[in-house]
Amino acid sequence: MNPVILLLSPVIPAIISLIAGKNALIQRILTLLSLSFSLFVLLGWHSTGFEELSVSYPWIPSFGVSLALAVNGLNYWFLVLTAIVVFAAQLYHSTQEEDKVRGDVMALISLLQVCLYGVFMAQDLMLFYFCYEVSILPIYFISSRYGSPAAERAILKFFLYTLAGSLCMLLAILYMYSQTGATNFLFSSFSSGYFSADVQGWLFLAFFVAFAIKMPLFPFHSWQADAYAESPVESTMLMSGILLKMGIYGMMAIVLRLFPLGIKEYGYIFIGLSAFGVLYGALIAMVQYDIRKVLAFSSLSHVGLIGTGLLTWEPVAVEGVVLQMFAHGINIAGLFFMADIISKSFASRDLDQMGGLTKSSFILTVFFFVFVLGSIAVPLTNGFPGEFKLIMGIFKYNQWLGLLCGSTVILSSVYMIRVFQKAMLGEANPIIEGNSVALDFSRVAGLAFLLCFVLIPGLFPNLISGISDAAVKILMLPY
Amino acid sequence: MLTITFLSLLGLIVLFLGFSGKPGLNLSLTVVGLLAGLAILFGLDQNLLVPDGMDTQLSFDNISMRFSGLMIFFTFGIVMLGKSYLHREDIQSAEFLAVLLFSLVGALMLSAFTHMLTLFVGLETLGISLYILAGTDKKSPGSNESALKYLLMGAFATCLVLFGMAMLYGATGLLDFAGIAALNSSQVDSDLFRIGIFFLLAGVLFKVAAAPFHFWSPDVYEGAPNVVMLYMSVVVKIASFAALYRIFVLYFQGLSHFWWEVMYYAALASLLAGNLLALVQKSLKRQLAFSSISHTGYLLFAVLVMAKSNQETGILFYLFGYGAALIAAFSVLMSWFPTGDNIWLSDLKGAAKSDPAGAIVLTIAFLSMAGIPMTAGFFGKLYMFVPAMQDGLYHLLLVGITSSLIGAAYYLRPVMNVWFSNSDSLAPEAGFSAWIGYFCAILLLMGGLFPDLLTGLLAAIPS
Repeated sequence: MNPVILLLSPVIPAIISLIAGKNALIQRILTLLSLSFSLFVLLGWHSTGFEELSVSYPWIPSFGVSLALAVNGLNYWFLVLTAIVVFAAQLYHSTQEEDKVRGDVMALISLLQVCLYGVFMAQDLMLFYFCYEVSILPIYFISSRYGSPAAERAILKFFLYTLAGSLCMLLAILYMYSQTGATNFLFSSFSSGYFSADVQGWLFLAFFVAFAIKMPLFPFHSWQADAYAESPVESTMLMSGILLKMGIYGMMAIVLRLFPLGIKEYGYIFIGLSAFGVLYGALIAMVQYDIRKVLAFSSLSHVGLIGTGLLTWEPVAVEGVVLQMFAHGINIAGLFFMADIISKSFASRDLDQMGGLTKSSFILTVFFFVFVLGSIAVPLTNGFPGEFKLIMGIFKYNQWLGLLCGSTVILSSVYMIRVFQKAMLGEANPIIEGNSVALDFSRVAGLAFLLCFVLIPGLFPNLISGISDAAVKILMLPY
Repeated sequence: MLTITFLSLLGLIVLFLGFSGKPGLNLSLTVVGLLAGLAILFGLDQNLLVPDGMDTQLSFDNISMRFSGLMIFFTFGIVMLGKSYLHREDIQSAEFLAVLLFSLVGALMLSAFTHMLTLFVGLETLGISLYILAGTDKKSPGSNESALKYLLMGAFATCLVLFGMAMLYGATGLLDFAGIAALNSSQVDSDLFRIGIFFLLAGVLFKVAAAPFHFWSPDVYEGAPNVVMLYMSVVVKIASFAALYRIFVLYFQGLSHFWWEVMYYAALASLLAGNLLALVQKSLKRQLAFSSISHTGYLLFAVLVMAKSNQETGILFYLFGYGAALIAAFSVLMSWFPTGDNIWLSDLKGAAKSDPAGAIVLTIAFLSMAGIPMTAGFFGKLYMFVPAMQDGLYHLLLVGITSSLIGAAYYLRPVMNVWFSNSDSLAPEAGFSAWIGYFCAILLLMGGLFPDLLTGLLAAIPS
């Protein structure tokens, strides 16, 4: 099927959502339909034997910008993850208490989906930039409008940080455009051999800063914890589950492909920093009392591992990146979803105020535990194969670095189990009586759906890597 | 010339119709007249009715047509917005509209002159009308202050321009720009010529409120009635840049070593001063005034780039995006705050609750001014950044990009207040002006999603 149809498919639910407004049932059905359509289109691609599916239409001919889209092994899992995480976020929103459901939020999330599909499918640098930057807007509006009073500041910080990064990227894109004398912005017009090592170094820095802020990697992370903690849950799920994947995808599709010499030039600095971020995120997560901040810092730690793996430029590690980013997206979205249910039932996000939830809800406990296991990367969950490959790759690159990053295996279980213990086990907090945990059918079904993606890739990692590995191999050819 | 003649006559008629005491009649006549002016501009040969001797002093070429079209179009929008202001009892609507039309005539001349005389006549017709317009709100001390300040500063700038012209005449013995531009380098290489060009440039920079000649503009903008402020920051800006473009790109491009550096540093200073000062304002009108200085910086940027690579789409697209965004923003602000007093940023709080559609229009307008993608402002900036990159103007580009980041920081503040704070204090009067806002917002989105529609339209304009 034409990728343009996939790109624009969320526009229709967006319009209907806006009209349906506060009608939760319609919103739920709509998001389910939207998910089914996306998965139907994406699974349909299987039948073509994984041939790259690409189209190109002129968009701004006077400027050489085209609507060039492709579905290939590299972006396939990013697209699937987009559909799933967007569904999870919309499901969360539409299953809240009746009076909290908002048509504009649902519509904005659907529009965000368009931007995300655009970023992942774009084969044109300008189109990529355009979607990359527009994707901040829906999150910005949802978070600031419906977040806590402190969200205003946190989200402005997020916006300006990301914008600063994007502007660096814009500068680099324009430089490439003017230097190569290209008349268009297609990825294929810029080859890795064109620029000298020195120039590639600068271009690498410009793109890296943009993507590292988005992910975020260690020295660029200061917006993250507040933005994740103060935003409404649906936008936190989106930010952590799928928005940061734009950075990972950009690193793979642009930086690895076009600036191999640049990575050699400056990569080692950032490998060290993001490997430090793995440890740093984990250590801070251990001492946080706000359940959302624990998850935010755990995300910093996990993404740090992904960033380190990408920069090592080892094929094994990059294969692991695809597995790990998919796993991280599912797990973190599920965890923020659950964390919100948990903190609502205690009327507090403070871990010290929690305890004994397992006595009142069995299903919740099981679900939460499986997500925790996935996040710790226990074998048979989705986190394991990716993390294994990543650490293997990093170890190949440098043993000491491998050792440092390997510590995440232990540390992540420390902070995740701590959360589980404090929230679920121990003396039941009397406050639960008043806020009985509401897990209605839609939420159970939705979480069970997410849970499938924790378990299946854990049992059959080849389902994912079978599609992506070939693309990664092509990507690593210049090496 | 036909349009200029027509609009001058229209101004006179409107002035005399004032005796009839029906403000509605004046307004409709002006609106219809402006549309007719637009039709005449593009439908009829502009070289008709040019009196003897004037044909060498005005030239209705491609550039003049495009700038003039933009100016008449935006004036049309502004007059429609001014309806509620003009219906106030203490405003003489006939005077106001007539003076506005006369100033538009001056603005049109500024897009078509070829001679110092017509340049000066254009500048003064525009300037003197504006001094009157700034003071139309006779009972408001702010408006009076604004008019006086503008008069004094404007007169000073005029002196600079005149002095520059005199020096140029002294150095070359010529008054027409094409003639001066055709001189060979040994003929112009004199101190007199240098001083002349410097003062001419300084005078024009004064008029466009570029830093470091910007100090008058925030006070003038703040004090002037909203409609007049809008007119000054949209139409007058287009006219001034048409003049700047004609003098320095069309004629003096070959002499760029005389003026390039001065304009370069003025552009840098305007970008930085405008944006940094806008960051600390608490009044929305002052914020917009300072941001207007930064937009002057961007437009100077475009002129500098064009002087090297002749891409005039950049400046026109930018002016279009800026004008449409300001008109959209003011259409909303004027319906929320009909009294026309100063608007504080905190006054906007909770406005989205009472008028969500207006809030969306305002948001699109501010995002466009900040240059966020999906709005015309983004491509406006892109069309000047790309040639700047190709010409290797890296420092300018860096400053331009940094200041768009600063710009985003302060443009988002009103947007935040509109959407995110929950106090119900506004009772907006919805009206006709809202439709102008919607229209401009749609134009901005069109410009941001399909910029080729607009560039195609500009390219199709015949001379």
